[in-house]
Amino acid sequence: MKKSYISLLFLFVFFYLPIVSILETGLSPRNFSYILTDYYYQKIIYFTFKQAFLSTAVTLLVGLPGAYIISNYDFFGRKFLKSITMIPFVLPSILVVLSFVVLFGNNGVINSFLSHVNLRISFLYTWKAIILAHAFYNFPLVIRIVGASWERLSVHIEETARTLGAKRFFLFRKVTFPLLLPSILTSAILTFIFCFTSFAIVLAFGGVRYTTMEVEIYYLLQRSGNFNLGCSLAILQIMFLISLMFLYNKFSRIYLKEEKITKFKQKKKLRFSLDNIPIYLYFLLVFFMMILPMIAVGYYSLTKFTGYETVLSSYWYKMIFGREYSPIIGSVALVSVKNSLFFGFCTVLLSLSMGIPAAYLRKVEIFLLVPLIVSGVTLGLGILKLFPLGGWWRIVLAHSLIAYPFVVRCVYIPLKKLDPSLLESALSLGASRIYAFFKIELPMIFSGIIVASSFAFAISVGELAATYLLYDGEYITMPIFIYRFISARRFGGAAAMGVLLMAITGTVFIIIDRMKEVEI
Amino acid sequence: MKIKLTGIKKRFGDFRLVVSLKVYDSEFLTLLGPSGCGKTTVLRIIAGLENQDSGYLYFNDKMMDLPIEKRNIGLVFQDYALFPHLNVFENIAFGLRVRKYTKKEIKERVEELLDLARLNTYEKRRIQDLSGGEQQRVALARALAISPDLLLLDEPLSSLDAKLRISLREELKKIQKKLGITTLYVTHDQEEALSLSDRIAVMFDGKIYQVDAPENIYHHPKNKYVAEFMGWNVEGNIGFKQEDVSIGKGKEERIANIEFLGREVKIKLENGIVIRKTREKDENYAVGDTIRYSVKKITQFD
Repeated sequence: MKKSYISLLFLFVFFYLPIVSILETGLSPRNFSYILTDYYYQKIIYFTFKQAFLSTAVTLLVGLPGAYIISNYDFFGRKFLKSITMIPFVLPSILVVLSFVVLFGNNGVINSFLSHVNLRISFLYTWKAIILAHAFYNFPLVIRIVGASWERLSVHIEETARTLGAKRFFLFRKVTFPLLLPSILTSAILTFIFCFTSFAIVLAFGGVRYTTMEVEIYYLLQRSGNFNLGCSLAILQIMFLISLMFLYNKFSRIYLKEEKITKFKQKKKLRFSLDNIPIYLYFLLVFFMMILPMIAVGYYSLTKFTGYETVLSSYWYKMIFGREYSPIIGSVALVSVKNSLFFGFCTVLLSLSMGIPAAYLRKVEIFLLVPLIVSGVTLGLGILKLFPLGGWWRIVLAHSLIAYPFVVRCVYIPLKKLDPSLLESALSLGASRIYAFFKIELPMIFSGIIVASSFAFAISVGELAATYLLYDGEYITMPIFIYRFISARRFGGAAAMGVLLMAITGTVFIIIDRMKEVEI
Repeated sequence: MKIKLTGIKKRFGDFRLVVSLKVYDSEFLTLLGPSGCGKTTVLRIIAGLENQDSGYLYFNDKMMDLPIEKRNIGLVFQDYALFPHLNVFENIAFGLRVRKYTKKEIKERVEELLDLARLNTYEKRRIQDLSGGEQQRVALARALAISPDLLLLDEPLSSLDAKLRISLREELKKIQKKLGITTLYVTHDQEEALSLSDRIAVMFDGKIYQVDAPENIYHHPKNKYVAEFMGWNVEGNIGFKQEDVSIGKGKEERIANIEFLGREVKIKLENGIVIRKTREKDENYAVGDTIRYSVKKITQFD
């Protein structure tokens, strides 16, 4: 009982105080009626929903075949495909932006190939780019969630349906699909929420024509310093997100409910045959979606435009590691790397010290749902309101608040598996509570803490939305560096920094992947 | 419908299944054997869920190679495999909907089966709200709804508690006799097999050792493996039933364990022999006592 009060206090102070400060300013009927009746804002709200809806549809379209393949077939590289489904949790969205720019831009890799045959694609600064980038970013999520559910479907249910006469399509429509539906809806709503509050992708590709609520809040502050309207818009967004969160909560409960299975599905060995060509085409698609951006970014980081031709050069790396002042970011490039790493470590420390005690409070569901309704920009706005005087620690606070629900989850899962009688027997043998924590619990939740730290670090290093509101032009980070260089059309510099950021998140990804025991 | 399996062979790694078997029309035949003996595989081959490596399967003297959906078979699993997203009515109606029955026909047929399975008033219930026994009755009703030519039951009672198992056993037997449907039943429980079946096929290690009426299987097992599985005392090639041992005269041995089974008592001696006898009023044994025993009737196996 006492514990749950402490947890509420915790949540209130760290999470809701910034939100409360937004409410204080933004809860104004006049503002709401202005936003809801003004054509400009109506268009923004409409576009926010439209792009999230279309993005989700395309994401499902790309992800569902993968979910089918990963849960029904056994093939070389299946484990690898399974681990890359974790990518949306660690990949900074600014890297997706960068990949799209260097791949599909006017001087991008694809267009320089196509120029040989006098063709050219240009969709980069349209809503299509926003939707494709969202699908690219989120489709592994669908594979992960729906694939796990498909794998757990009882074989006996399908077999019984077949003895009753159900054939392929009927069987799928009446049995398989309804049983998968909770997981499909779970992944769809999660994707919808992520796209609803997506920042970097919309900011970079939307231009002035396509703006979402999340990006508009940022514009309101940056361009006109209109905190009042920004807060009201943020409240409106939170209200939309709360209703989505309720839906998410409903479906994910069904999805997560464990069913007893007496017989697991036997996965088919994938063989080379005409029937399987669509599957191999899908692999090819995924492969290119994963590999091409990396190659393109790597290639771009090694080129320089001399004025009339593009040559291979290590210029951008020299710039990044050099001591030269860069007017684009208003400082030396390496400062952004230093800042990012520093914020990353501070975030690990702060979010662990907040998250581990929270994991002990057991009632963790609420922690996991909060990040769904508090977007990066909303959080940045709240902190900006609460602590108007600047300081680097505001960024660390924002990053820790974004990261710590993940920390709670990663620590809670092994903690839940810990048999309480272990601790009791340690105490009965005369160990003190502190001694028991260090000797019994800590070793058992250690891998959870490693994964939690890795997540916190990756989130901090890749975060753009809240950071962009709070960096004051002074505390530049790697994602901001990349965004500024893309805006200045210095793609080589952005790509070189992108390679560095990719290396960091790649390392984190490998660490998380090695710690298999922790399910995310 | 009658079924015939001739020279059915199937290999999984080291395991080899070699089976020939006949099931007569309207017969209740049980495949009895320890887990891993291949009894479920036989059932799955008949259902079409598994393909044999060689050998032939006949339904009514016609070779059966239709896909599983066309075999018109009722199948019930140990885990019920009910459709969790459909209610009781829709579960039972599933096969009828596949067969494109009219609304009226479906309603009539489902009600008939709800009656048969004593599930009236349950039609709107969600599967999650049913007890294990009720779920198993729905699974049976769903399998029977399509008027199958053959009923296949894979350990259908194994996940229920003992009391329910016995009452459902009786019900199952009654329904089977009433409908006269050819039934193949798979179990590892000899008591279940003895009480339900017209004939029992005892399987070990991918082979059928004996097919016979329950009385014959129990009283005249063909070899020591069957005898042992039916609870006989077996030593080398000699065997005798637990109830064919009398106490009072004969060899001396100490009691290792005593199990009271109500009217009967099961005494295990230190040399491994098990004696089963009705309890007399004045009897009073304890573990560690030494008693004398003699065997009334010995069977010599080949």
